[in-house]
Amino acid sequence: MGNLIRIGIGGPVGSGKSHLLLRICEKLRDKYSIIAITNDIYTREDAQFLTNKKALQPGRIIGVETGGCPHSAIRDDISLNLDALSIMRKKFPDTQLAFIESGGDNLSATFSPDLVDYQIYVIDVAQGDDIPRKGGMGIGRSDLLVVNKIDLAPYVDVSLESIHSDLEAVRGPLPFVFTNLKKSEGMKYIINWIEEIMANQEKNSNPLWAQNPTLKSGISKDHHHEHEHSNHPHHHSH
Amino acid sequence: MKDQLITLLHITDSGYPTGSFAHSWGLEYAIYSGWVKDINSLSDWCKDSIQYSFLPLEGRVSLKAWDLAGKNDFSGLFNLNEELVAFRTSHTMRTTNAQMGRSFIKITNTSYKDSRIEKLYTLVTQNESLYCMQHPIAYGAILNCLSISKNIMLKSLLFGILKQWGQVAMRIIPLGQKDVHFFLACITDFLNELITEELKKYHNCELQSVCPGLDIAGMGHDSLKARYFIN
Repeated sequence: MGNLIRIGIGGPVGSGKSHLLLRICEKLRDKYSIIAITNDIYTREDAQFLTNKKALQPGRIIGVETGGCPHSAIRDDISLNLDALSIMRKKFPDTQLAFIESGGDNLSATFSPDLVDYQIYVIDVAQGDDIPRKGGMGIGRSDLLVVNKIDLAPYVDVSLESIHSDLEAVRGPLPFVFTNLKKSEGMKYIINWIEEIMANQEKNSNPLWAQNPTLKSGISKDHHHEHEHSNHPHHHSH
Repeated sequence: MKDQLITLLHITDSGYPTGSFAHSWGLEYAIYSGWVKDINSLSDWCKDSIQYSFLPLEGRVSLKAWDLAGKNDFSGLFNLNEELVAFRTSHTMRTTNAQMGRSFIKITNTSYKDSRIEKLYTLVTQNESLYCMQHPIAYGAILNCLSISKNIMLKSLLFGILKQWGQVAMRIIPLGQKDVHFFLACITDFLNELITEELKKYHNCELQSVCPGLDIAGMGHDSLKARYFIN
């Protein structure tokens, strides 16, 4: 078996994790050998969603039911996911990229380093613009933060500018991106981010969050908007 | 030699990563079916399930596995696994129980240095079957390797299932914590009596499961549209 990069996708219920995974698969499935493991609390709905949308070839998507503790299944007791990963790798030994989508959970959920090499955390603007200020491991420490459903911001009285400045303060050098996954807005940045990982292959043993000076003070310049700035009520200082 | 009490507390903790937190051992279906709806019906259901199914099947097989591991009879463990699998009434029960067994062996092999555990891990890893290795067999064998007595092994196995039922009941019925933990505290005598009897006779007994309600719950669980636990 060759090198495998494992990327976890976490975030609250309904934030767009499955949609993000679908978009990533659409863009990268012809270039890399990909498998996807989805975690669901109650059913295998997310695996079904990806299968129905033909995100990957049949058999490359597997659903894991995590019971009432989705955070346990990706953090404290990852055995269900490790087992699924092992089964899938036996089935597809050429796998280069494995995505593990967590069940929707609260803001404190995070992936075990034994399970994934990188983690993407997805929030959406409809949860309120105070979400970044509430913090949590996913928002503060994920390798990439995706703020989804920016098209809804005007309808839920959310200021993208406020989210933006809060995230700069919370995340320091860690990247974040604003997306509207329905229209694939922001996907280019995410795909580039993954491609960079695939090109480098080696996981930095000193994770970026550990170097995060803003856990003390800092300002991030490494974040991205693909949309026209004039369309949204916020600005950039960089 | 490791401290046996600390070792036991470690590997029987609900946080020990075997995936057991996601299992309801049939109780979820029993609750949705209306068989279990309060602390009294929970108590009856647990006692019947332990006495007529988990003890003569899971418990007995764990004792036999403990003995086989003591004799370094690894092929005996795999034969025992096939016998236990034949008792499982659904594919889900066979695969998910094996997942727990494999995870238990894997994490224990990582945590504790023991040549027999290492050998068992290697053999299980090489085995292609999705049904290998069922959790009670892994549990019995590993606890022998860790020098835990078979009496304590069996007690901890069954009490672990009861604890998980308590968690399931608190979440799904739902029951309050006072009722559940009072029930768990009171079950000691019942459990001790059963275990004392079982230890006298298991050598000469076949595996048994005479609790059709539990089998029905296991099969019925697969048909639930939305569920909180695996089975």
